[in-house]
Amino acid sequence: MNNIKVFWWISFALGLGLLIYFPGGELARSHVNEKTAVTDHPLTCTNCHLYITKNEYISKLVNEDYLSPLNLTMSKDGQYLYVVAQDGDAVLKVDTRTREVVGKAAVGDHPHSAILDHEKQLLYVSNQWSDNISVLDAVSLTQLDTLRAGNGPSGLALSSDKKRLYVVNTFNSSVSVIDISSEKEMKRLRVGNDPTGIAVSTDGQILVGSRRARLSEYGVPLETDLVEFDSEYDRVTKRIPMTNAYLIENIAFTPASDVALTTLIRPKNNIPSVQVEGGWMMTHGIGFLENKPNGKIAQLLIDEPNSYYPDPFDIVVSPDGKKAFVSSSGVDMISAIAIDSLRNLMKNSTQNDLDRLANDLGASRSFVIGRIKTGAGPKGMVISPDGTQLYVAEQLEDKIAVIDVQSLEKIDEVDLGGPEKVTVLRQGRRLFTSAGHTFQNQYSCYTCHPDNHEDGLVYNMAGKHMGRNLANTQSLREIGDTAPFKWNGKNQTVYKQDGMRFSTILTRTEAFSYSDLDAITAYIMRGIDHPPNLQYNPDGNLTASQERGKVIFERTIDNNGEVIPENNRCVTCHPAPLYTNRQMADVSTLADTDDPMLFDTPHLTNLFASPPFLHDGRAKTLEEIWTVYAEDDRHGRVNDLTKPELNDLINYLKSLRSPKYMNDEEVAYNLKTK
Amino acid sequence: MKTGKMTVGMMCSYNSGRKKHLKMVLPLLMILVWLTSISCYQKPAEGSILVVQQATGEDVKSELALMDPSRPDQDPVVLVKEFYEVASPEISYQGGAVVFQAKKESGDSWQIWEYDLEGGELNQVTDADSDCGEPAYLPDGKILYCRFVPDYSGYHVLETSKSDGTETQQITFGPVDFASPIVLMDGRILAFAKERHPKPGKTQLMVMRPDGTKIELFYESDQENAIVADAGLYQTADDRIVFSEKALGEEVEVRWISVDYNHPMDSRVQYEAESMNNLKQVVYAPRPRPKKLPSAVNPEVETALLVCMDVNLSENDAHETQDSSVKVELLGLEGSLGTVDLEEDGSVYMKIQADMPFRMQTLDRQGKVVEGPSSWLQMRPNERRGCVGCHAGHTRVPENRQPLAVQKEPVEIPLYRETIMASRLTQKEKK
Repeated sequence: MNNIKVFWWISFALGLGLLIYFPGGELARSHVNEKTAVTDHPLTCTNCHLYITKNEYISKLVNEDYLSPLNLTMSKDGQYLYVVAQDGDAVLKVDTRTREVVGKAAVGDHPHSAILDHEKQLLYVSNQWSDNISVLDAVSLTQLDTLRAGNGPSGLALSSDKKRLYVVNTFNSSVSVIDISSEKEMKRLRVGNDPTGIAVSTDGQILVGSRRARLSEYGVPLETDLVEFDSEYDRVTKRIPMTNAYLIENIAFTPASDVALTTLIRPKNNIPSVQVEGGWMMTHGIGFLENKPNGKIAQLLIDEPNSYYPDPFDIVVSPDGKKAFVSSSGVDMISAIAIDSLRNLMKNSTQNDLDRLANDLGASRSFVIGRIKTGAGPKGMVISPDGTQLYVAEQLEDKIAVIDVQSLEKIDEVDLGGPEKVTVLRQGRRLFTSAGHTFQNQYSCYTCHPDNHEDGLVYNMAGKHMGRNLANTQSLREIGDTAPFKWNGKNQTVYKQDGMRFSTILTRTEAFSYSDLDAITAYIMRGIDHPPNLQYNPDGNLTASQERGKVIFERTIDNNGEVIPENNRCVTCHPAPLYTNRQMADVSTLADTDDPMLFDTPHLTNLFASPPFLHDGRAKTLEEIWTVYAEDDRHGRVNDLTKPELNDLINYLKSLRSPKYMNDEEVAYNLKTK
Repeated sequence: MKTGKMTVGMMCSYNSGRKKHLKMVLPLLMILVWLTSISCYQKPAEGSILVVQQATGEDVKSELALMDPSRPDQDPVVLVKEFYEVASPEISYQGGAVVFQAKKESGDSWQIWEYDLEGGELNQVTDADSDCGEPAYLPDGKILYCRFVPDYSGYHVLETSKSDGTETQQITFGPVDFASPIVLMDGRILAFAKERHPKPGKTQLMVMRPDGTKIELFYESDQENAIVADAGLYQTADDRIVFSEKALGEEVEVRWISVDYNHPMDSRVQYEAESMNNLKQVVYAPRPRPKKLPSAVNPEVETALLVCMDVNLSENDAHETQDSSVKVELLGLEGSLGTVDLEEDGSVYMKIQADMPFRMQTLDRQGKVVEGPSSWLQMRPNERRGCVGCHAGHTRVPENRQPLAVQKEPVEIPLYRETIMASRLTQKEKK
């Protein structure tokens, strides 16, 4: 480069800098103020634009590919640990003696759990976003086969004879019973909503937990199902409603199988959210079920009066049946529980006493014997067969913590080899899952948005008055381009949504620092993906019914030959690709208990996964939106539709999926119709 | 300081003969002078201990001084020496200032002062008619202290203020004597509290947010012991709260007690060491700043909202209620503020005049008192608060149900406007 070119480049850079700094400074200040709703957010362009860019090259440059271990299983002799790396789409084999990764194999999309057939040395891995199970040789990690599963396979269990594989299908709330030799799905059992955890007792009894409560009217006590079935006939034998609990992530039996333990959360969504103090928003604990006829059932909190242990994920029991461990990803902590103390508590308590204990923050003193700090995001756990060591997947560290079961101390860790750099997006995810930004660590963003989605609950956010302004939790998946936010559309950006007012109204502790706010905003805007819609639209080819529904969705003339006003057509307010025009609308759903407002038009991608519907969750199903709550035809012209036509429309709505999964034809069509 | 000045002087002399470069050198020189002035300031050695010492001489004076424990040969560096008496010093979280209570002359009232350790400036924070003392820094830089109120044999309210004396805000109301407030790491204020009216109560530990909202019991002694407020209140690095108690009915020494922050009501530990006053170490060093809690107070709002989930919920019953109380009555300093019917589920929802002390009692169908009256309560302007039950126990969380009471408009307390006005006049007169 000659001197003249250098001169011009320097002059250009200087000129641009001056232009940005002097005349641009005021504009930039005004822009940042508008986006953040504060006047003192640092004026650094890269804080926002670098990390929320959709440019794939820049995105690759500033981000890293993490492994994010979620669940674990172990060889019978305890020598090898098999780690499911959810973001790495892989399974890793770790030698527990050397604490080194000795093998890695690619599996399907977004793997969830793994289980070993010790005799045949087969490793089964559920691929939640591929709807299948990878079968690998446990020694070489060679992939041997792929089994079809239901939608969103997660928890896995084997029958005692190892002939059947039980696969929990999270997205369609079922359990597939797969005959391994024929690779056929023999049965599909309906279980509770959004299940993941499954456990098998020594006598062949199977328990499946669920995470979302049964759909019901607001105010009705929550009931979340534990479903029991026997493995001899693969029939559901019992549905156990866990009252006022949800997010039952995992289950474990004691070695004698006389007791089943679960993780759970006891939310307070029906109570006006006027404070955090005194467990007013969320409490977290375990379920205790005596495994005998008319056995007692208890829910006990692992929280304490001034300290909470949110987002309990996994629960495991030591081989001697004396200790249980619960991982709480909201506070990076493992709680150690004395099972004999639990047994005594059950023995000496009436069911009335136990019901009271479910709301007693003092109860944990009698059975929690230790708290062990881990790295960020402790999730799945496994105890070595000799009962000496507990291994914990530190999801947001890409490490496995090694804990001494006797001393209850973290003694070592296994580095799985993920990137060392903590990117802004990774920091944002850590903040999202950490309860450290809520008063007394009572809950994290993740608590109400499990899997970065929504928890299916309606909360009384108690604006000016209590008992008013119910709010259906909204999904956070791929919302980066769907501003404004909140049902009333009052937050123009995620910055504002999670800023000072967020801390005053919701977390009730110190607000995020601006660097943390930048990070969590970047994560919410760009770090959360929708799963593929394999259930209703796996490849973009719509069914005949969905095609008919699409025509209804886009129609301009109703069944009576009348022109539908433009603002009352489905497609006007819900245009592809996000299926929202991002405008405010009145669809005649304002309740007497709502303050006057218009509603932000919600996006409809993966709509099927977000019941209940409407701003206050009054519609338990998509059908109810129009069959019960659209008498005046102001939420689209629908009352002329026949029942089959409404079914077609709903089938089409269920097919809507993220633009990320759209094929070229869909993209071209959307561009044409935009 | 002397070295720095010399350096600057030499530089000036060196440059004086080169006028043509003066324009270029002058800005550099100014920067150098500024840098030198910074580097010449001698900050107190980290780890120095802040001490209050009696000055020798004709006048009885009290001095605030810094003592470096690593330099036993040195005299303490006197920071402040113009007071008749100095007490209760506390270092700011960053270590740049110290706040203390002091009186200029023997007949003066105690006021709050702040000394800037970096700039050497002394600043009066309060200028009240009555004694102000026991200051503590809040995480947002404001100062918390106790102010004496002469009513009911005398008690102290808690107030907060900016260090320049502006934005003074009383945060506790009612005849309750607060003492030795500290700021917990969670950002709340913990203080001893003892009721003065209608009869002296026992000392308890009360906790509240820095704006006075969500005030609640943190710890109370059992039947056999009593809290002794004299020795102060401390939070340790491992989250234990340390204070003193003495056994009732026996002539035993006052003992140190600690409770676990996480579950204070059932984690009492008694130490063999006898409790003594002034064991607080005031070390000159930055210390962890507690969380800055956002304030819910809106001074433009005159009321606050309170919901009680089930007035009849007892400590031992899970769902069944005693079903004996049908009303709740609120009592002010001058008498009844109103009676409110309970809903079928035992809930009650009230809009209460803010910053007005009140007590609650439950009544049966005949109007007889079933439980209560409670200890003094308060609500701050725009505060919204819930309670599980009047005697549900301190570890009980609410059952997840919508109380019937919030499906209606709240009942306003006091029930009659005239009562509000009378209450306000009474408050003003007492102030």
